[in-house]
Amino acid sequence: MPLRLLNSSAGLRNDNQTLAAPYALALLLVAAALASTLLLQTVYVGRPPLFPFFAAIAAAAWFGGKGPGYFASAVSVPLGLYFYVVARPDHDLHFRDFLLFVFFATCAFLGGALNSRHRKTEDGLRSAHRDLQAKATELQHANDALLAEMAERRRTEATLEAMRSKLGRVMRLTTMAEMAASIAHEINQPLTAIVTNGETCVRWLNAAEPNIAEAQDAAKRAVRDAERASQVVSRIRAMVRNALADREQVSLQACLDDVLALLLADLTAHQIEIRCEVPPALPTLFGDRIQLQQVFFNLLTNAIESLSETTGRQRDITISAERGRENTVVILLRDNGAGFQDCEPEQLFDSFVTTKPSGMGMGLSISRTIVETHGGTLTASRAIPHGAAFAITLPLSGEEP
Amino acid sequence: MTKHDAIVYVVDDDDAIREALGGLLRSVGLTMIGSGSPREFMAHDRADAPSCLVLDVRLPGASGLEFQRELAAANENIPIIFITGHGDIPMSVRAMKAGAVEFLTKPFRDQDLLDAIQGALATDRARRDQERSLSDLRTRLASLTEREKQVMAILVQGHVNKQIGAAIGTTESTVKAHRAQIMRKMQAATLADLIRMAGRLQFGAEPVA
Repeated sequence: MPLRLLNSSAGLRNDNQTLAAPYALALLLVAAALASTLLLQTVYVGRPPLFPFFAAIAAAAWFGGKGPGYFASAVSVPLGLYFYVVARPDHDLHFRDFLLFVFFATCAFLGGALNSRHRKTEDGLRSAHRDLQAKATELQHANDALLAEMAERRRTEATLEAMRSKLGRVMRLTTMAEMAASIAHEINQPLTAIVTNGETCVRWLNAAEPNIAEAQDAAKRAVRDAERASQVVSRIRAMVRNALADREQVSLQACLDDVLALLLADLTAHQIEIRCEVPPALPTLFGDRIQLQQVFFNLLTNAIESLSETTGRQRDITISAERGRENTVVILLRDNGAGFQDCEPEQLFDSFVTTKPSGMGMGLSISRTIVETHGGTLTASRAIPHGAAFAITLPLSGEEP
Repeated sequence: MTKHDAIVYVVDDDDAIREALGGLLRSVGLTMIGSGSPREFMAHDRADAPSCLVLDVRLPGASGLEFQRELAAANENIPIIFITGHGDIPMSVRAMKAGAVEFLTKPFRDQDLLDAIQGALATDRARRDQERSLSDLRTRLASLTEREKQVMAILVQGHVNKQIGAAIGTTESTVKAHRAQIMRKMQAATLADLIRMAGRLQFGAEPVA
């Protein structure tokens, strides 16, 4: 379709050719019409029908537009005059011949005008359609971009959330170290005074002439300082118990997912298979998300450490959760590692008791304190045939996730 | 041991520690003056007696180590014994390098602290004796006349009376009289004594006019 191209912007590069080509085509079409009419005349008796001209005008108007349409009409009209009026075989001129000619000329111009008009409308529709399609494509692209942006945003949010929870853990550990240093100082001060007062008391008693009054004073000071030390200890206990900051609705599944994501590298490195089954419709817990994560982190880290020493069987960790009595959830963590053979399960939760060659023995003690401040319980048992099992019972807040 | 024979200063912000140390020191006959902060310690008039300072590392405001530097900068020569609840090796090394006598970790054995205190007091006593005898010598030197100082400067270089007389333009008998006065005023029994005194005073190191 060369002429459609001429209407488009690509054709405007060569203006003269662009303008001349439709007129040349119009002329060519009219010529073809003339030829076919002359051809018809040889087989037709009487005046030949002139419809090839109509076809030529219509085609010229269609392909070339208004100008070439009128041009084809203008060229066809004298030819019509020739066939209707001049080239009459009988040379007997009638009024009806003029009438026919006028009719022909009118139809020729009308045909050109209507066709070019039709063409224009058609083109308008077509370009509108094209525009619409372009718009639709544009919208599609915008939509795609938006979707990509949303996915990106979700990813960023997830990363941010992961970092935030990691930061929370680091901060908590730092606070813990600071607290430990502060506790050590606060206990050490009265302890120093107690030791010094005790030794002073002994000195007064051991003197050549024992001084009972001074010895009593020193002993009283030692007692007073010991009371101060015990107050420090109770204050710390109360502090741990009342550390109820940052309570919120916590999804158990999300909580476990976060911890497992942090431990994924360790699990993979030690070829540990982990199964985690939490019922999908479990209501949320109400508590400190970071502290609860700390509990799972401690228990899972213990399991991983124990399993890293285990050989001769597939290393497994199983986490399962099910509804317990009175709107509670019972979470079971089991590994098939070495377990704890040398001590009773309850002993594990005493501070400074550890089955590990290097360890403070604080992890389980802290974990139990956290679970208890959440109104739950944490117990240990031996898994059959191998390993350790921990059961955490926590109250559910009743809100569906 | 008489009452102001020696004084132990204690700077610790913990009342209980100060009281306990006060009791311990009393039991061995030592006097303690306690302060809760370096500022309080500086506000005290210091007694003219051998003394030492028992200093807690962890103090309100400046740390004990900083206070040690401040004292050194102010030319305070009091021997320091550090006590700390959380002493690490680098910290103790720094303290000892800066001249601390001892670095004890709380809780410490009473005997360790008392030994450190006795050691510090002995050091301070020796330093004070040294200073006192030097200032005595300075007083004696100051009692000499200009002429006598002139004679003494040449005398301690090992010259005889005759040479001295020639050097300062006087007779040998006048020099002899000056020399007797010098020996009396400086309380020197022999010429060797006088030369030693001049050495301690760094007298005659520079030429006398």
